[in-house]
Amino acid sequence: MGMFMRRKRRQIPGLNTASLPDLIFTMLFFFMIVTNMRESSPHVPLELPAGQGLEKVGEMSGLHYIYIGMEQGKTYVQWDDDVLPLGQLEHRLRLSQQSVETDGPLEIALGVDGRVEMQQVEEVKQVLRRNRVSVVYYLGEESRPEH
Amino acid sequence: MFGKRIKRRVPEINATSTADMAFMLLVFFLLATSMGVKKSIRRELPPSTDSVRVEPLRVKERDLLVFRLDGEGRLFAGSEEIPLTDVKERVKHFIANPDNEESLPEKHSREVPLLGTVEVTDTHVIALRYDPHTDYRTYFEVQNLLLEAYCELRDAEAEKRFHCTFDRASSEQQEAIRACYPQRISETMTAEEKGGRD
Repeated sequence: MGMFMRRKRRQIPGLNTASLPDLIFTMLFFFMIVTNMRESSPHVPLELPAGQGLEKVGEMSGLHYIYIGMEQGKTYVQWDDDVLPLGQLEHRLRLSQQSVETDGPLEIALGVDGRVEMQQVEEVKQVLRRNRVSVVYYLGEESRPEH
Repeated sequence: MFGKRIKRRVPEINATSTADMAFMLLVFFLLATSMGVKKSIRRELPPSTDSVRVEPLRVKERDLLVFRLDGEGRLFAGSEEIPLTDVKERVKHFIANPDNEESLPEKHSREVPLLGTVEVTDTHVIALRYDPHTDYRTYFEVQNLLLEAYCELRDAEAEKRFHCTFDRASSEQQEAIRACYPQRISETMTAEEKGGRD
């Protein structure tokens, strides 16, 4: 009876993984193209205001980030990757102005939480103006138009 | 010496670990890069008035449009309170001055490359005054509306002149259109005389 006959041992064929690297490389190239180098990310609690039709911030060497975040009525200031008191901002700005080879003016991207009062933003703006920063980018989230 | 040579087989290179290598690279790029492109409003800051003596800018009454934000987030144009939704139309009407009205900015003939002689309201100033207690969100919204107003005017002009949107135009064309609608915005905090201009 065929039913009770001993079955032939079958071998599972080895999975051919020769094209796996190609697959991964494709993914790698995809990520290399759609992403850009992480410059600095906010470490302070931050909710950027929303806007429409905003311009892209170009990635350039002389660009520094200042974030002003807010939590429970207290504001936090961040220069590139360090959280520091507002008073030290000018010192750090001067340091980076000295260290950077002056091939272009220093530009600042300013990410401010929507709830922060303008007097604090104004203080930062005054620091920037005193140190001859001529261009500032007010960061915001792009929101979709309602219509 | 002349005997038939034994055919040798070149051993295959084991490529199993190439995938791991590629994975390593992939993970590195995932960590070191960020996906989102940062979006912003670009503004130029004037030099500090402490270090440079600046002649006060003389602006004719008809060339000036003043918006004032108070501490509660209300917006005033002159002395009347207006909703934020009105800002864009007001600004567009003010800058373009389509009917050449006496009360709106004066038009000047300017030579613009590619476009020839153009009537431009290039002395207009939009002044944004804000209270120290205005929150940044409201300020940003108004700035965004000003930006949109300029963008829409520039888009309309690009459509008329070059039959494409402002973004699609070449850099010379964009430059020409920018010259038709130059951004002139002054920012001041109401407590003290401080400002910003583009």
